[in-house]
Amino acid sequence: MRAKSIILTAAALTLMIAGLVPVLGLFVSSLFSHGRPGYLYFERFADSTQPWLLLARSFTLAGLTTLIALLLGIPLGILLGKSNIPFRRCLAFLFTIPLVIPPYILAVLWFYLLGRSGLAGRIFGPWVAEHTAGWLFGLPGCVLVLSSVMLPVVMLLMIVLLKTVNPRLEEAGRTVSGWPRVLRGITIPLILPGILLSAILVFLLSFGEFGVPMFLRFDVFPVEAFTRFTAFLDQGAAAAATYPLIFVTLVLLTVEHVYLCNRTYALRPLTGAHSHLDIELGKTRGWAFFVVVALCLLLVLLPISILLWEALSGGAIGEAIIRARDSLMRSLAYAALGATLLTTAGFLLGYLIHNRALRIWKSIDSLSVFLFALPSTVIGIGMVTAWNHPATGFIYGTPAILLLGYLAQYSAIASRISVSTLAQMPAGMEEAAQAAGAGWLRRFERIVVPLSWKGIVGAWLISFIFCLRDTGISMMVYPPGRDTLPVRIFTLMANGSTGLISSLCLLMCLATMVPLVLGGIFLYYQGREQEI
Amino acid sequence: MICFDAVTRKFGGRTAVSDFSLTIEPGERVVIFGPSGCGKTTVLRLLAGLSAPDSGRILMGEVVVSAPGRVIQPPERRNLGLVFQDLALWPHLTVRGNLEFGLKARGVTKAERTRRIGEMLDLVNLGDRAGSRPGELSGGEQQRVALARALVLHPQALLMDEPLSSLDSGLSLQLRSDILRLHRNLGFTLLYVTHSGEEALEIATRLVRMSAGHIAES
Repeated sequence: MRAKSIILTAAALTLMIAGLVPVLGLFVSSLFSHGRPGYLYFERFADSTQPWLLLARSFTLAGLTTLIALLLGIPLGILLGKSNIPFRRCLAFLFTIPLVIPPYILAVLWFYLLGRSGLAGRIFGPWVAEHTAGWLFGLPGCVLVLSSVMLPVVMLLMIVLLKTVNPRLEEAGRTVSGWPRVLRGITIPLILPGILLSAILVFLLSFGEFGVPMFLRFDVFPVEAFTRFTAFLDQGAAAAATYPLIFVTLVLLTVEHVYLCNRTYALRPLTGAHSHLDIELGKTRGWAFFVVVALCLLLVLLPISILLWEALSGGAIGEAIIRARDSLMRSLAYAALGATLLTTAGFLLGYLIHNRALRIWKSIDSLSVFLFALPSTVIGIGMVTAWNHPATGFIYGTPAILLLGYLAQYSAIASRISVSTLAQMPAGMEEAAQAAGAGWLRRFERIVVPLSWKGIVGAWLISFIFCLRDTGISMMVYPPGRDTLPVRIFTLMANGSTGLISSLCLLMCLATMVPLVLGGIFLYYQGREQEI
Repeated sequence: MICFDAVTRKFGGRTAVSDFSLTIEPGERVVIFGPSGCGKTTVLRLLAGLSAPDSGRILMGEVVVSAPGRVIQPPERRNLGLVFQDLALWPHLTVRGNLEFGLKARGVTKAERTRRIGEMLDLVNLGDRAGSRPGELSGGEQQRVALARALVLHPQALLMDEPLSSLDSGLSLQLRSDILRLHRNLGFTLLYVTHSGEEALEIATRLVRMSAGHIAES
């Protein structure tokens, strides 16, 4: 029992240090601005309309993105997760690509297509280019890019949620009604809490995104915080500018906690003999396939094709490899280390939460979700304010600061996957080992971990992708001379040639696609194993 | 009349139902009886249209409703009531909502829905629980809601998949007599699946014993 308490408490403390220290740092830092009391910044809310305008823009952007992601993601999730549409796994994989690429790279790709000197202009003339560029640089462009990034979040959650519905409930509906009414009256209401959760998640991720609005010159609150920090070097004002972001995150997560937590009917992955009932599309199968492929072409394949075209025709692949080789290798190494750390801590935290092993299990779960939902700029600025001191230079000046940042922002991914994995393991497995006289460490090592290996592999791969694509935290805290590839591309974008930037973006995409492909193959074989 | 004509259904390499032929006359109470894994539930799912046979046909009256690899008539058009082993009551709907779902799907008017739901709930002695959700009901009450939900649509046949397996013997006895009373009153065809010999003998007018996917005795 002692080993269990010590190890799980250590995991909880690690999360608290990684996550709470930056938030506290922000609070202290926001009290001062350029040596003066920081509350002066808050007075701008009363004196000026600018902060309110930024806030309204942030809400508009996040609201529209959430709406579009839901409108497209829900039917897409149903079609790819529950119907007999052809090539559904392949299509689901393709739609996931924008999620694993840093969002600002997607903005760059759309710029290559719709910008003033973009492909659309080259084909249809400068008049068209003028209009498409005007449309891209602003709210519509930001909504387009962020919707394609967030669409897979809703789609993937829908696919997972649909698998949690007891198929007998749908079969009972099917004996008296067709699929549309069953979906409307039974399936969707049963997973509604999960859908609302995905809406909140998409809203918060869009609300906190700064790379895309910054590139497309649409000022929102995260951009304001980032600019205050990097351009004006005003830590206090930047810290104060993060308050609305923290406040909105807290409010929405509280809403989720209060209203949705106890309204979950069947949101646990089903195992065993439950065979899932697929929607037979019949005569509409061809049309549904056509529409889904068209959407995939527009949102995924078109930007990727433009990237390939620009990168391969620019003749700068060699230069890109030379200029970014170090950053790429560092990115891969940091992401591998980060994923390993996240998976280890996340699995322990997942075990802690699933078994309610410590009294603070609920607080730990809430903290990890809060940190995940918090904009990366907030965590990044918080980390600088908290760790950038001579006494903590041994952390701040080394890659350890990046790992701490990853741990703060992404631990919820690994811990939630672990909770889900552990929920599928019968409690009797560990209890039987306990009855046989095995201590906790032995049970954990010999029973719990081996039985959860699929979840652990999945958590590692997803954590790896998130660490690799991370821009917000890395941009703020990367150690001098040790930037990551997303940071290198972001900084080169201001004056690099199109050929070089597109080649770097291609390298970045390939780096994130490899684990995604591996994950896809892993899930494919896991699915086949389950079918057998 | 319901007719299984040499029906076979396989899952992967395993044959769940093999060359299964059975004719059920209107108003009959047929009980399919056999050990776990002998293919009883698969027979019900094939008849309900939730699964297609690999070979053979299923007919309802003169109409072929399932053919090899194809569900010709979808489940909602077969006019069958189905009670699952785990009841599958919709947890987000009230008792009234559970009964109303199928009636709405069939375009029954509101006045008619209210009348039929009231009648059916009275028949199963749940008139005062119409506004409750399934989670607020006892095991026996849930069982009666599942029965009422299936019967409120006036199905030509009621299919029951081990509906009493999770109940204690006293409650099981009570519900068996409820089923027989409802059958007497409403006159539907009953296809009942169980592994309990006692249940089978009490309910059946015809007993079909299955073993390893075949009819061993009828």
